[in-house]
Amino acid sequence: MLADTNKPLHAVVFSVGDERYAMPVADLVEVLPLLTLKHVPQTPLWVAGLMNYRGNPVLVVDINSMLTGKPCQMLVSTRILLTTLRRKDGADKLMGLMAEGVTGTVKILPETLRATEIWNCNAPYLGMLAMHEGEILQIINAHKLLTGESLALLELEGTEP
Amino acid sequence: MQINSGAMAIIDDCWNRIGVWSHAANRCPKLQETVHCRNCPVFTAAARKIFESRSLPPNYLEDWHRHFAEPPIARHELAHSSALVFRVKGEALSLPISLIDEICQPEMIHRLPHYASIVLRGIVNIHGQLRLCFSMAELLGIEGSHYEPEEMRRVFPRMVVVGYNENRFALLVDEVLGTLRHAPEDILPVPASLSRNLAKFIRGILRDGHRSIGLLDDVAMYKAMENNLR
Repeated sequence: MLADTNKPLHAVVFSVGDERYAMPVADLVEVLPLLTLKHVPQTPLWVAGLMNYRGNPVLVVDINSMLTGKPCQMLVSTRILLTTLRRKDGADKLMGLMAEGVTGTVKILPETLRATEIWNCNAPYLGMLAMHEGEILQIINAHKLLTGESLALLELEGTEP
Repeated sequence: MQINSGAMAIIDDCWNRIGVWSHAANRCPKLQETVHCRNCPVFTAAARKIFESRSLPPNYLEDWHRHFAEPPIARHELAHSSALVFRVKGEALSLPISLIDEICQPEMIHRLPHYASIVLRGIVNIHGQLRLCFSMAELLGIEGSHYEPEEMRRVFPRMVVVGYNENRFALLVDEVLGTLRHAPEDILPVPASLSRNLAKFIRGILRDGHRSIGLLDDVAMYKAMENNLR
């Protein structure tokens, strides 16, 4: 959430290709290591599969695959960021985001945040830019990561009996 | 030497080539500022790269899958609480740890004039604060017995400072034995064989190995303390 502009923003940093992205910890439920996923047939490539989280199936999305078309590498530093997604019926649904290079959190100072000059309506999840210690971190808004078709997929998945 | 770390690109180990671990005549100019390679962002970035490129150990995916498939920790395990166990003459007793402020060596007790009571021993100075000091044995009516084993007659006197509302009291005990963690269902009923005098201060019995420990009813205890102040 970027609601409070005066407080420093704590965020988990991850990589997509050579680019670094950040996701606010307020949006996260838990950071999980890679684990065995159940493959879901006939889904887009970026659907990594379903994980068994405390006895419930949770959809895991490969963010690398979604943004660049190349799936995440199977490394220890590739982890699953567990976040929630608001469904049409108002209920919060858990969703896992598989991302590379998840090795720590950063404290982003509010004065380092800049608005992006480019607005891409196909990528509403791209948030503000943080000029953090010499590198540019793009903040990802988890709630807007899935759009249109991809969101419909999850909604369908959630309404199953 | 170059380090090949799994799937990642080859890392240039400049710290061995021109850094503090090299014998080169021309050392890295960055050392002027960083003094040691471990302070250098290049070294940090390389370390992170090596760490990030570690491949999965055997059974990693399966083990974590099993771990997270388990249901979350049951609520009742979180309801455990701890008690401070101490000895008063031959009785092992305990108080919820949340009531305990501190445990200290016995301080000099100043008798209160006109309050000549064996229960209320006087006032003590703990960190510059004056606290009323009670004898636990007299407060709870515990009498020593000559038939007690040797270990029950040893005395390592301590003052246990307890908080009640805004007040702090010092309680004299014969020995502090430690803490005991227990679940709500571990509190057993008070046996009928317990002396009636003591029984009114006991909320339940905790077992620790062969030892029975009386869990004190703090409200009854504070009430008795207040009665002694009148």
